[in-house]
Amino acid sequence: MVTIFGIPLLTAVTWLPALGAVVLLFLPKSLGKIHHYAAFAISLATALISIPVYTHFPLGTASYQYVEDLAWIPTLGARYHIGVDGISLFLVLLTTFITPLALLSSWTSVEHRIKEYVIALLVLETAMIGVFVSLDLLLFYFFWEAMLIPMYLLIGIWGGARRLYATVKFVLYTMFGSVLMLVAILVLVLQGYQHTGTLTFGLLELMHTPLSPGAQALMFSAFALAFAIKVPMFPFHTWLPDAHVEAPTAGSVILAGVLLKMGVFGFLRFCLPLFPAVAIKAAPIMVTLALIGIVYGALVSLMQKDVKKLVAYSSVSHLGFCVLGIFALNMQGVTGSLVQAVNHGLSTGALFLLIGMIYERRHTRQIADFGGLAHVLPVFATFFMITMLSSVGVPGLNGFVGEFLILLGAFRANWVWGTLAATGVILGAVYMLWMYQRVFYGQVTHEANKKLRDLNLREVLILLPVFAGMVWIGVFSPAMTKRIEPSVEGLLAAVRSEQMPAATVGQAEPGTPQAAPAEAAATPLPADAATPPTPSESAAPTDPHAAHEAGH
Amino acid sequence: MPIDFSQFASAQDLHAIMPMIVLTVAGIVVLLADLVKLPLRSGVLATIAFAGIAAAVVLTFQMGFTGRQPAYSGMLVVDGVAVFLSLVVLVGTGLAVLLSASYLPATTSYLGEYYALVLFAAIGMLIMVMSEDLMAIFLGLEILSMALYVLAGFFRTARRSTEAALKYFLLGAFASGFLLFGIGLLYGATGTTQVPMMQYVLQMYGQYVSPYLLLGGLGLILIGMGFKAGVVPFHMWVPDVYEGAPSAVTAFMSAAPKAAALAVVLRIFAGELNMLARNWVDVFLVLGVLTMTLGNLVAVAQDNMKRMLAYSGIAHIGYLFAGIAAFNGNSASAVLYYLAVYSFMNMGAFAVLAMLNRRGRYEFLDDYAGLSSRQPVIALAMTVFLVSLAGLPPTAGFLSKLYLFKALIESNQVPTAVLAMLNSVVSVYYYLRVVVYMYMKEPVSEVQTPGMALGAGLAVAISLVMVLVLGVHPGSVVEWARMAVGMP
Repeated sequence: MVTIFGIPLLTAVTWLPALGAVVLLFLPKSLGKIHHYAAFAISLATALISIPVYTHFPLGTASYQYVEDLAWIPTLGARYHIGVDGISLFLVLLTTFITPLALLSSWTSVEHRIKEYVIALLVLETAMIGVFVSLDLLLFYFFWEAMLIPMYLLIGIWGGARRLYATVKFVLYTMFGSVLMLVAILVLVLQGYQHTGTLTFGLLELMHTPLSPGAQALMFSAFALAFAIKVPMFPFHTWLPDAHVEAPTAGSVILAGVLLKMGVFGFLRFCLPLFPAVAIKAAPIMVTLALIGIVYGALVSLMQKDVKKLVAYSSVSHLGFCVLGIFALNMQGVTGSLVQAVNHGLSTGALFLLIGMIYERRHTRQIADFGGLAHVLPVFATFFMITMLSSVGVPGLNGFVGEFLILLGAFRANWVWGTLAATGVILGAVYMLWMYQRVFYGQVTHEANKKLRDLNLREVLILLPVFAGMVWIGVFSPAMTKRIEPSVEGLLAAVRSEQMPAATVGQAEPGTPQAAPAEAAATPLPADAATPPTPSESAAPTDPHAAHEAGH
Repeated sequence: MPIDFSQFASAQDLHAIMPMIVLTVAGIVVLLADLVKLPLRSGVLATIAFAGIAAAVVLTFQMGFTGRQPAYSGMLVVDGVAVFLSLVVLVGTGLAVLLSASYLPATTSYLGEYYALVLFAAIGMLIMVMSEDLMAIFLGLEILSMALYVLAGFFRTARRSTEAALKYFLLGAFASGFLLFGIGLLYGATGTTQVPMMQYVLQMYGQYVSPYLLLGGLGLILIGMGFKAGVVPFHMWVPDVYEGAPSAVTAFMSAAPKAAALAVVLRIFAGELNMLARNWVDVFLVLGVLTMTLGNLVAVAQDNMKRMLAYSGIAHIGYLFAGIAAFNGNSASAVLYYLAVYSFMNMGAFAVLAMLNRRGRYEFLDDYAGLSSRQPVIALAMTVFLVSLAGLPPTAGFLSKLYLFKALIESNQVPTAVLAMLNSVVSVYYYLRVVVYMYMKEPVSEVQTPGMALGAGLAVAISLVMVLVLGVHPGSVVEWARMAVGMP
């Protein structure tokens, strides 16, 4: 077992921020800025000790790594059971790397109640990592709900003018989704108890609980609702623009960077393996909603006057891609969805950081108040350009890898889905480029914009790691997909075997070279566990989608 | 003829009532000590009362959570439920004494009477919790009620306090009437007032027992106890009395007496007479859902903290009633655990309220605006209590709700569980609104914030630790609750 100073690795990564928060809680408020330094150091340390999670992660296995399994609440059968697989690996890393950047980004913008601010952020970090690593449903729910209060405080205390409305809406929406999920969890656990005679909240133990079709459909809906609200999928997205716009920069970054991924992750970790039969049946509905989200989010973004709101709605569109990829239910789609989840965290996170930086200077986010900024702020404009290109999916940067895989998966599942989603890519390029043109090109029309300072060292230092990540994923994507694919393969094999109980084990075995198109067409699911893993994207020479070309 | 006293009170009987004897002695000592001119009078009196309660806790705890020991020829019984809920009642009373110590002005002339009344009320509750005889239950209830009537009107020169006491007295007397009438009908139906005997009569001679008398009697008892616990539609007195009574008394009334009333409900409806349970499932479900829904919805509209907490208390009784309706071993243990957790989180919230309310302010939400910058520790503690009341992790409120709703789902009451969950979403709104005021609003006017106070501070600290510990590691308390109802 990998340990850090004798503490199991995952426990150390998960709890270090919370431990830091507890220590800070007892330090006097008068320390002021020192709290900010300390919190940054703690989150940086967390990021550093999370590196072994990546380096020690073995290739080619779908099993959970760094597993810890301890008794927690015996009377409920709940255990402290945590572990990481290909699905959660990069989301954990994303969390540990985004948090220090978020803390750094609020260096000057948060000046009152620094102590409370950094404590909320650190507690939030622990809860987010906890969600990704939990393999016990109660533990998962525990962390899931624990994210709520810190985020509530972050938006409510340090947010914009309509922050109270936004934060209450955020909490009520999320709560509504999750309490129904709790009922479903309890029903599932009790069904498992009747079936096996042991009371357990363990995810792995509950996977094969026999459920009546009706119950399975209801429970799938309860889980899916919680995750769909979090993603957010159309039509549950209305909390997002409010929360994004009102949240402070660090809040937006975390919200876009990590919190929205909870929904994507939840679908993959819980909805698919627990209720495979319903997941397959519900796929067309989920895909339809995802497609509506993609197009609708893009169209609404097009009409926004506020840059932050534009990016918020673009999240609805981008996350639609993720859901589409999941419910394409094939290798490329699901892998792409996970890559895209991380990508979106980086590029949208960076966009929010950049918007935060310009807001600190100009105290406005209206597109109409800008124009010609490229003359005044060349460095800023360059960073913005790269981020935007990553967001619209230009090859060589991260966005391309995810969108390409998702579109590939969507086309393989159903060409109509792929075609409709591709329009989202075009629209994405349109609203981003148009916004960029209005903000950065042309003449400087506002007097106030003429005296703006360009980025300082701290701000560049915040952005550089994000760009490193963007390029790394864009160029070395196999490093990522290699680690994701085995777990996705295992997941899809499990989903398929539930769907076709008559099928022999050999058929579901991954890696068997028997890709027969006719057979794939005959089965309700595109049977592509049999196909070799996705070609690595940086090597993909041709772009099958004119969409990308049309974009730029 | 010589009288054999051992017939009246054996060693066993005395052992069973030992905690009550200790409380009685402590009450009398408090009254006597108040006659002497003492330095630090308020502190000394509170300490005596608290010491009595602490001794009673130890004595009760030693009785253990297993076994079943009748006393006074079946009037009382020492069993797991009795011991567990006695502890809940005693802890609730102890916390109330602590917070009263800093709430009551040291100059109050009736301090001795105050603590004595609190102790006597605790004795009444212990009798209710331990008795298996309807007459003993009535006796316990009256001892409790009399003390509470007086306590509610303790600030006798304040109009609101007097009004609260009068309201409470009139409605309480009415409820006692219902209860007594119900006991009468049951006695008429079965010829006994002892619950186990009734069970026996029903088993052996069930066909001779008039179902109308029986159901009527049980219904009236349910109404009587419903009044005391604040179940809709018998809840009307709760907000008015909570608002008018001195805050420390409101705190006291809000937890322990509810545990005592629910002990009686559990004993009669889920315990010995549970062969009748199927007649009552729907009644409990409907009452539970109505109570929690009304409590939560009306709480949303409150801007007075005491009224809000009153309606929140009503909502919690609703969850508990729905939980009782599950009628299985898990639900009984879940109800016990919930009551234990509820006393800590609710007493904690009231302790904060009472601490701040010492100079009369901090009754309305507006006063809480910006509290976090004036009193960060108090605001943080209040936040934890409210989050726990709302049932969010990592607090005990979450786990207690989880146990309760799990029991509900186990008896296939999924729709009720869903309704209860949705109710808790509503409750999140009004609990977190207080957090909004404390953390996200600027103070409207200059408010004098009283600083920390020893007694209330202790009560807050104890509750805070328990709410957090029980939220992450319920361990022994859950095991005691399960032992108490005979679960492995």
